[in-house]
Amino acid sequence: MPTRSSRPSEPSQQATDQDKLSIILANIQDGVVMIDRKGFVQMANAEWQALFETPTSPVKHKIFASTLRQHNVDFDIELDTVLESVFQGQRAMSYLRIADTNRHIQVSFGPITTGDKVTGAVAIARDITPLIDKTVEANEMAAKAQRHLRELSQLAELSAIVGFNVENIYHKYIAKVGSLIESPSVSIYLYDPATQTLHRRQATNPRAEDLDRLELGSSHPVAGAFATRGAIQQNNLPQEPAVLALPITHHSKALGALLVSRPDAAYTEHDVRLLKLVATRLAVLVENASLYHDANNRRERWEAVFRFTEEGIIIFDQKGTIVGFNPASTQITGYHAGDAIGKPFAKIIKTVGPDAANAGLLPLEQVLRTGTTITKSEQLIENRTGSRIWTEISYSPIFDDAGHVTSGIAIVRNTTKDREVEEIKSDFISIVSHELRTPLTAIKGFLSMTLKQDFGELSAKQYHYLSRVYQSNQRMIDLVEDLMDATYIESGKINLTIAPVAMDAVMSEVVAELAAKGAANQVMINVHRRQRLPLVLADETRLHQIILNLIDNAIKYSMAASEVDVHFKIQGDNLLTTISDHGVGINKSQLDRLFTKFGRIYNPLSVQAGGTGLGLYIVKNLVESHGGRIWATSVEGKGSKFHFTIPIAKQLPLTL
Amino acid sequence: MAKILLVEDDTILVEMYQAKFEIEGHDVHVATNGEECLKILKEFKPELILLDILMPKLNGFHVLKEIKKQPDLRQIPVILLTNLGQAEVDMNQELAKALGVNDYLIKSHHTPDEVVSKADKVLAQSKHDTESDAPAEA
Repeated sequence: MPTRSSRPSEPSQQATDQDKLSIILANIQDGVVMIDRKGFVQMANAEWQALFETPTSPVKHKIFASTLRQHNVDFDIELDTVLESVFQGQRAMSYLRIADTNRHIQVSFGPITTGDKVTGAVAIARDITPLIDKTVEANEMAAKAQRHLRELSQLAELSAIVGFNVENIYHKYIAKVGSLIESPSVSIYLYDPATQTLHRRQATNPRAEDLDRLELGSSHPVAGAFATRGAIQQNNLPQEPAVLALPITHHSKALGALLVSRPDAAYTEHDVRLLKLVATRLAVLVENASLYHDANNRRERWEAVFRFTEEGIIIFDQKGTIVGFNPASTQITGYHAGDAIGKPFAKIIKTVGPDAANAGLLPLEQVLRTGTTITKSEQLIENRTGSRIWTEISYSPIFDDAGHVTSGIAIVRNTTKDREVEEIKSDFISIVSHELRTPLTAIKGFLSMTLKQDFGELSAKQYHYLSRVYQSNQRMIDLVEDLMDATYIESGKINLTIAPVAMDAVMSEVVAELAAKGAANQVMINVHRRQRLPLVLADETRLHQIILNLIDNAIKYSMAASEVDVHFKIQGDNLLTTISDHGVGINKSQLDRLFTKFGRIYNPLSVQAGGTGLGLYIVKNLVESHGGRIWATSVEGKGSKFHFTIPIAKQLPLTL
Repeated sequence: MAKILLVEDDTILVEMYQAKFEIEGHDVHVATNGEECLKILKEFKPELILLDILMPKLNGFHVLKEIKKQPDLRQIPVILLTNLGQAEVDMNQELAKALGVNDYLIKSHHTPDEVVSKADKVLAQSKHDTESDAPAEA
């Protein structure tokens, strides 16, 4: 274009070209400068001036090279060399950086020729700073991407670390973390609940202050990170290496802390983020390993129980097929695990008795179908050699996570020995008490006859003291009686003959029996009956014993010259009987102990009241074996009420 | 005054019951075990038998079964005397009833006086039964 515009042959057109050129120069985004053959600037457009002109020194008529140099410009090619080649008719391109304004400029040079002669040069400058910046940015991004890629691959490698050997995991982690966070010193600390310290489990190049054990309250960054659940940094570079500690947490539970240190650079936010990722992953591994170890320990403990317990443990699947059979089961049944596993439960635990055909299957089916637990069902079984053994079998279902019964477990206890011991115990008690009762009966009998003066008259003193002997002997008889009752209750041998019984009659009998005792204590017994009482379902002897015991107690604990009241109330299917006394009452805290064995409470009246401490225990057991309930209420200083229920006989007995 | 056979192995209790029944005017014969009891019953027909349960040789229930097998003895009323516990008595109650026992007493629960009055009651009842049965038997 400059060649054409400089053509002088068409004057009319020349002006137009000049105008066009001016318009172009004024609007072009590039800086344009024209230089004469001597190197002086002939003309420069506004853009060029904006790049290279300063207010104090316009570029026009200045030597081109110096107008550039004043700006502290770096060239990639020597400017003189460029100009020289341009003046020889070459085109050239040069890059320069204006240090003052930090701009990158691309300059294209071209010769201006008139005919064959080079008369000057034109230079067109383009500001490529944004382009350069972009390139730099791109390079930086590429470098960053590369770094991230490297970090990612290292994180991926960290994630690939799996297993349950924690020491191994720590070892691998330490190495990877060192290169990932670019830190020569890496330590893993875990909280040790036993010593309540942070224990260094693994480390490379630990610093002197990274002790084996750190107290929770210490100023060490590890303790800080553990306590605050956050990152702790120390940056005293270059005097001391930079330190970064992060907690290892799992579901907000702090397990320990990671510690890294390097001598050459402070840790950045990015490092913190990376280390957090590492710590999170490590926490999962540590937790998994600990769960695995727990599970393993549990399994080992369970296996020890399975192997060494004296109770037979039999595990069966949903179909009742045996899948587990411990050595104790072999002891009991005579079958080895190898023989039993795979067989139906009922083939190995062969129950005998009236329902022999079904007995072995029923509880099992119940457990598998309904998911219920059956505890201590007594079963007579036949072992492999045909011997019969008394057992106590508990069945329990095993559920999956969805709550379905997947299998079951049976615990078999050989109770043959227990039964023998129980029998020996009850035989012993009954023999001893029988042997005790015979002399007690003789004492009672001879004394009663002596007191009746069958063998001659007694002095008042003799009568008094022999009465005392008689009473003491009676207490001994009562004690033996109660002991025997308690023993029978405990061995479940209480045999009740339940039939409709007239409460009215029993009550009258008891009142008649105790009237004398009541009178002696100046206590009146009032039975309040508005109508005939219904028949109750009871063993008559035992009902008598229950009422006798309760009214006898009421008399014993009554104040002199007071009354014992008996009230009745029909409560649904039960007859409620309440016996109230006006005595010292019972402390609230002692009410609970009232019905326990030897639960007799201290009471100012009890010293003179006597008794064995077994009475209410027996009464409670008797009431409950009738399907009734017994309880007491009391106001201290005013008196006590004993309430018990007995089922009402629904059908009247056939009348003759 | 009635003829009574007391079957009891404990000599002191024998002495006690015998004394009391004699004071009350009864004629008491004694057997100290089950075998002896059956032997005496071959010659002596009492109006009431007081029978202990736990005895050497034949126990009370065995003796009772024997007595009830024999037509000439079966009508004699029997009071069982025992020092077994109430629970055992409960357990044996049905058997005792089935064997036609007239009363079943725990020795330590009763004074000899009470035993005598129970015996008198049984004797009176038995006498009453025999008299009312007499026309039917005849």
